[in-house]
Amino acid sequence: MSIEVRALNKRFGQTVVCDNLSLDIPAGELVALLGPSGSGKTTLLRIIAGLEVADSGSVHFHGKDATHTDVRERNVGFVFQHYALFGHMSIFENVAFGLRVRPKATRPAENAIRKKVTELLELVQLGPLAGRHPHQLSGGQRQRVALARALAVEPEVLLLDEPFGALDAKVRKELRRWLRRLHDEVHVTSVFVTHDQEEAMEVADRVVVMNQGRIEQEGAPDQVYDHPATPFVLQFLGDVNLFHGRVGLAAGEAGYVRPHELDILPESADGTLPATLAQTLTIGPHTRLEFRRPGDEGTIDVEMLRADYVALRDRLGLQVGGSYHLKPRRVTRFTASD
Amino acid sequence: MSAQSLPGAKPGLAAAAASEGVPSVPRRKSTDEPAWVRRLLIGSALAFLTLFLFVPLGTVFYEAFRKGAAVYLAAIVEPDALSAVKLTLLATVISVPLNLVFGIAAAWCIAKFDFHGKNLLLTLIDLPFSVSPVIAGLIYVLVFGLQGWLGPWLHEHDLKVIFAVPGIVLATVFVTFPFVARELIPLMQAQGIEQEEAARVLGAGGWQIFWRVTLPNVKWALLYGVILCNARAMGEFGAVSVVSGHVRGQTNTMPLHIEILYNEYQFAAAFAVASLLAGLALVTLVLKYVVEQRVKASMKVQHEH
Amino acid sequence: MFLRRTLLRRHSVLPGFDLALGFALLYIGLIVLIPLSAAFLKTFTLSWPQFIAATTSPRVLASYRLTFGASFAAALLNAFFGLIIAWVLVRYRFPAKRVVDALVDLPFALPTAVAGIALTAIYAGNGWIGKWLPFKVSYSPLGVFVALVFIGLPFVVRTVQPVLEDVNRELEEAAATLGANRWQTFTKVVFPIVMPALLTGFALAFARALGEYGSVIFIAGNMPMISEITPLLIITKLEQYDYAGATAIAVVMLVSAFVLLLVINALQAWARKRQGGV
Repeated sequence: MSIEVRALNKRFGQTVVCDNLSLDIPAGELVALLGPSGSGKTTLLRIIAGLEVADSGSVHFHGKDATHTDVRERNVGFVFQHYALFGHMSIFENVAFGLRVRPKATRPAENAIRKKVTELLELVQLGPLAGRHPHQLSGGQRQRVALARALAVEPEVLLLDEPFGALDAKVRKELRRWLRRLHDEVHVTSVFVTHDQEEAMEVADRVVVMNQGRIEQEGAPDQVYDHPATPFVLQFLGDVNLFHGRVGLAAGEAGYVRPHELDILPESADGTLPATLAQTLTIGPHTRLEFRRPGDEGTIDVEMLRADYVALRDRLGLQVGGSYHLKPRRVTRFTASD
Repeated sequence: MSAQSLPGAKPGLAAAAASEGVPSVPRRKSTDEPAWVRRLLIGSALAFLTLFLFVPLGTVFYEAFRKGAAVYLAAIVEPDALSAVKLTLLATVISVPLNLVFGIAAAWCIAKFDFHGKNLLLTLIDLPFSVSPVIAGLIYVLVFGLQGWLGPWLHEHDLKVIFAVPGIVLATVFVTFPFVARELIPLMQAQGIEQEEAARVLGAGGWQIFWRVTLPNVKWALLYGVILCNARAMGEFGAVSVVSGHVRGQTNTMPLHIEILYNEYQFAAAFAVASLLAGLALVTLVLKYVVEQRVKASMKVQHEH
Repeated sequence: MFLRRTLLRRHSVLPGFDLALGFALLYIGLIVLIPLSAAFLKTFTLSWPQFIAATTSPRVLASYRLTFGASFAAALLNAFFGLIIAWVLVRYRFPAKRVVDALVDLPFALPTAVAGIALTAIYAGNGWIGKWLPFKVSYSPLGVFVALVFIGLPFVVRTVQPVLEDVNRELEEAAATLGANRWQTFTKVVFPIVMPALLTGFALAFARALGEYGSVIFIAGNMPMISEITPLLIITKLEQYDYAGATAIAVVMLVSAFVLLLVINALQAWARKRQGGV
């Protein structure tokens, strides 16, 4: 089921949290709402869910106006950052909850419920733990239960609020991949909120970058990364070096270059910048070289694979303190008013 | 005083709003009851409270002043009433400081140390709450009464405990000694021992640690414990009734005096004296509210460090 | 120092342990333990048949029925309305809410004798409320019930309130997204969380009501076999110099209070175990 959001406005007290937001989410897509704290992404998600009511604007599900529909009738699945599992119920009962509270008319028979819950627990690979209680499970397991519980009512839309925010880095990575695979299997329209750009880029079909209640850009992950529409998007997704003047910039322009799009040359050439090597830092398979510009106008970061660094170092005799020249392969320009 | 819940992450709207750097809004449509349910619940709650709480409170003052201010004042300044007031104050002035010292001592060892029998001590402190006040009086009669353990010895030396002031003080001490301790212990436990240990490492002695570090941190809870202890001490009836002997003008506290007046059908006078204690109760509640706010504020400050 | 060496489980650099604990133990010993033991020792002067006779005579049994029965019923009513009051105070806003919240503690702060005469006046035949009622409240067992409701009121409210405040609202939101209506959410999600506190509050109100004296004797009527509570019976026996009889009944009450205390502690332990919720 597709979701259409039109001209949504929401403020809390004096602060505008959603500023005239409009967004289309096609059916079956996995969309990430990406942005820093205060960007309005969680509020937008909760308005779509019906947990929050917008001041003005509308929300449509597959063309039908759902703006004033009660959350219970919207048939959305919601996954919370801190799981919100019912602590006094077993895992099985948690997943069965949505089916058990249906009015008599639409409630499935007991063995139908049992079958469905068992299937879902198998889907999230927690079958043997059905009798346990939430406090006996790890964080990653709890989140999978939360997901199963949300899917049990066969929602047309799945909404996830920073679903992996409370988990360890390693578990987060595993669950990211797992969510992607789950979506490929189940194909429910899904929207998830995150402030982790790596997560958004890895998991989503489309990324919606938000800032201060507004949508900065939306598109496929590669698209948004390679062709950022605003300086904010560029800076938020991945690391970036900022230049004023030089590098062929006109007055009033700012130039952005990614650390892995800078070449290091021994001598000056057309379009290069002089800089002194201040520090090299190797983290895992990557190396980051920090350069200082003359007059100490700030640091320029250059990134490359460690193997490439070793080759370059041997070729050029790279030394801390030495003077080199940096040449950007690609500069993204914005006028200072962007 | 309700348990203080530590300020921490409250998920949901408040956190969403807080993480968006914005004040949280109490309106939550998705988890609210329909308006008629709300009104019904509020109505029933208020009706129940009116019936069982507000009407009795109002009655005390109404009945006290019904026959006019002159009768009211006459009842208060009447000699027997005054001596009842004096005796009440005397018993309170002795028992509250004693219980204060006990409360501090008990809270110090329970909150700052880990020892065998700590739970037993805690249970013993809660004991007076489970013992009927009449039984509290009875046990002192058994020890100090004429037929009691020390009875003959006291009689020989012409000392009176039961049917005299010392007995009243003892009974009052018994029923009120948990109050200060119960207010201090949870707070001091929540505050931990880090600050005291830091003071120790810096070279402070025992009393210094107590006066300069521990006491300032618990001053509001201490004050509240004293206020509660005081209110209970002045109002204790059952225990004092057993040990008192009910001698007008000599061994009657205010609650006992009220009983005598009431049994003699001097209703206005009884309620007049009762209104003094009711007024004290209201002052206690106001002070409780103020102190609770201060304690909440100080807990918040502690956790923001 | 002696106490520190023998009792301390973990080494501590803080001073004053022996002094504080020594004083506390001395205090409790003198004020509580020794006098309480007098009650039990006195009872041992009775032979077993004498003890049974003293504690199970018809008049005494009637007083148990009244005391335990009225206390139980009052605690039950307080449990029901206490939950509603706690809910209303935590979840809703209405005028003068803070005043109402503070006044809930009135039974804690108000002397029992004052409460006693006030309630009697109100529910007497010519009292504000008594005159509207077709049945007698003051000077009857029903009066006992009313007084016990008054003094037990804060126990349930104050025990349930903090737990209700801490209920994770996201649980209710989750239930709503799963299609539950408010009643279902309350019964299946919120109430199970609050129930242990409710039980504890009930038990505390019950325990308090059992021993209550001051607020009851004015309104009760105090007629043997009909409206005489057990604490009053103890006093009557004392006035008749039947120390052993009075003490025997007191021991029965002490033992039941002790059992109740154990039950309360067990309830609280069960609640803590159950609450490993997320």
